[in-house]
Amino acid sequence: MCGIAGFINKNGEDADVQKLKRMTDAVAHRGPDAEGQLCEGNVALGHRRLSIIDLSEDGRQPMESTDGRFVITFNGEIYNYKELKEELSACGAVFANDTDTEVIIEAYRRWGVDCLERFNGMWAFVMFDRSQQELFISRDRFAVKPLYILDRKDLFMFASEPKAIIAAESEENIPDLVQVYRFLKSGIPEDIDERSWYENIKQFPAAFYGIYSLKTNSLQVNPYWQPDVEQFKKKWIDGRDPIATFKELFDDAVKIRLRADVEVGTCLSGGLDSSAIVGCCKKRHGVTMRTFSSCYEDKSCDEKDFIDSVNRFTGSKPVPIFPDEKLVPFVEAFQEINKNHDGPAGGASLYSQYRVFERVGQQVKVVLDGQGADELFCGYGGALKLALRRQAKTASRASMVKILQNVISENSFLDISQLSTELGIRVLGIDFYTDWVRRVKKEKAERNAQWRGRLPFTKSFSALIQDQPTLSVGRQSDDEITQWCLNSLLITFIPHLCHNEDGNSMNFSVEVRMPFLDYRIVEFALALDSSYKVKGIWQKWIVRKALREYLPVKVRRRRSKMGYPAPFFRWLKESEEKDEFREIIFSFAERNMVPLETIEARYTAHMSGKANTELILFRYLVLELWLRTCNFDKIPG
Amino acid sequence: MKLLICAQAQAEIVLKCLREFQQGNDITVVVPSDVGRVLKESEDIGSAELIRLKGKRFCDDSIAELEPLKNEQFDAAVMVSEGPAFVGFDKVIETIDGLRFNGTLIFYNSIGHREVIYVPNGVGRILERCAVRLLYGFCSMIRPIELFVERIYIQCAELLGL
Repeated sequence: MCGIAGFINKNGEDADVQKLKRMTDAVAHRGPDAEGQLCEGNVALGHRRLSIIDLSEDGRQPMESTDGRFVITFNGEIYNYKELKEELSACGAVFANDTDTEVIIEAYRRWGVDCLERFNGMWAFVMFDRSQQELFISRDRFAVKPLYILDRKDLFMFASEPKAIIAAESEENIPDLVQVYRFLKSGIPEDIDERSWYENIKQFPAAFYGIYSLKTNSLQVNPYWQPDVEQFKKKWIDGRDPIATFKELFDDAVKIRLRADVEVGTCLSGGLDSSAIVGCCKKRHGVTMRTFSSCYEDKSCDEKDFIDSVNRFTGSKPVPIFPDEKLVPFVEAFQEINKNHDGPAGGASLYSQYRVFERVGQQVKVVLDGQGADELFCGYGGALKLALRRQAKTASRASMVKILQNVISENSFLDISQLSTELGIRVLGIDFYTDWVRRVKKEKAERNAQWRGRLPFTKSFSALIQDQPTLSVGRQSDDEITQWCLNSLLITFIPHLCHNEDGNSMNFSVEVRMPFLDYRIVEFALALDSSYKVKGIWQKWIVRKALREYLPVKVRRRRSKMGYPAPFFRWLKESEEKDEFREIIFSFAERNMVPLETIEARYTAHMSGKANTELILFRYLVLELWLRTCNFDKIPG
Repeated sequence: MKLLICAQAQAEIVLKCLREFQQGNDITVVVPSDVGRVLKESEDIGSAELIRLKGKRFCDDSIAELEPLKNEQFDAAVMVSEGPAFVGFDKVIETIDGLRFNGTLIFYNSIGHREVIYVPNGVGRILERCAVRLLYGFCSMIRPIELFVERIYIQCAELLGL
């Protein structure tokens, strides 16, 4: 796992090594162990290395193939490199070192672009083919590893982070106002399409490869992986026992992610997913790990009981981290997080995650993490709602107890007011439902009275940004739950969760590996009948069932969910920095994006306790902090 | 059949719905004013009676226009959704709450998919209401007991190292 950067002068001018060094220096945190720059004619390839596999000098990059035809700069890991290496060696390939990087080169030589289908891992790389005078560019299937490009008339640039591009081309530090609008409107940060937080810097799409021809100075991109539910069914489901298949895949996904020449730890939240990973490492692969967990004095957001239970069950070595124990001022921390993410922080919870990785980075270089299971196996309330809908459609009235149990469950994310009208009437009957809606609406009206009639955006900002189209992955499945999983995987959750995790972890030179995002598990999950994902009142049913032996009973029967909690609402009101927060939030009005009276109404409502507007106030705060670092003053008009 | 179509949706979706339901049915369409303007000019409105509510959305203003309908008995109510999901009917439900219909609700979404729900009438409706309240109360009541049993079970499992 590393940082990459490079460029091509389209006018044929020789590449400037100092410019390349500025780029690699900007991503030095991604790879503090070594650096390398290669300038050849108008082509520049740079690299910062975080040594994890083959710690010797042989692993330095940019790396040349044994015959000198290819040069590669690579960020990520190909977990199945050992198997691929064996296969390639049998075909006569010669290897000079023990890295996965060299396997990519030889695989490309042997199989061309089809090599990508064989890779199991996370990656972003650029390979220069000297004989064809072209660059082969690729990014992993699920946007785990970042890759940004700038394609101007005179220049083509790429880097692991936009800051590397801006370090060489400072005039590109222009915010993308569409992203800003989206962020203010729904809180969805970047990564939902090719846009980055900067106007001209785009993301290279996940699951695509590109060929950049130096002869024509043009980039052609094509997909190498696409979700095809029917195909996945044939591959992973037909004629197999789903529970045994899932366990087999999960065991192998964890096994290949333990491959490293440094110590591997685990992030442990005490939830089902990270606990299953810790359990699998110990019970299946005999590895006792150090587990890193965020703990809080505030019991309402503490998961210590569950964490302790897993550590006892597996005999792991716990490393508790207390993000609330303030060492750095919040404002300073959010400035730092904004910098890491090359944009405003997606949520206050990133603060807790940031503090966890700060400590992880002092102790290990690699951690496993449970990201992906909620999206693939329906761990969120949205999926439960769809499952309820299906149950309500087919269930007899006698089964209604089960459905109501689910609705009422205090541990569930689901609230009765979130039920769709049709489902609400079906489950509860029209009178009960309408009574409920009336009550919810009354409460909502009282809450909203504080800012009713106030515009969310200034007229000038609304006029500048026309309504943006809703993004969609297209209809891939008739099953609503499978479609929900696909959207979560490709648009709503995984891309920006991976972005957040990469930003926070790589800032402290920590590589995060996610077994649930093994492409085989993803394909299996997309093909799996949704009755294995939600059964009765149990979400992620197959995870509980198949990985039973890895989980203590307490976690296996757990239904609550927390993520990385961060009590921003309290910080706003009670922290020593509350006046500074206020000053920053109100100065955001000068950007002419949100009217001052709207900001005022929301802030007053929050501080007086009449409403909890922490989400939107947080967006104003981090956005203002980030805009202060850009070439941007305010919206004209 | 005497149908009441309530739509908080774009005119094209309402017209599509109208075309599908028009044959053999006596239809009354209730829509916000803006949508009503488009419907009025369309041939697809046919013999349907059009009622335009003031305001851009349902319940934005008074619903005095619906007063005459209070004496009528509808066989079914069709609710048209703006999008593919079956959401956003709250205001529509509120609007038709005082009207009389014979127990069938049809939810119709933007892609023409229908969900039919049979709502009991008269005594059946009162009984259902009571049953749901009882069941809801029962589930709320047993929830703490369920959690207590669960806690005991987990503590035993922990003691056994499971």
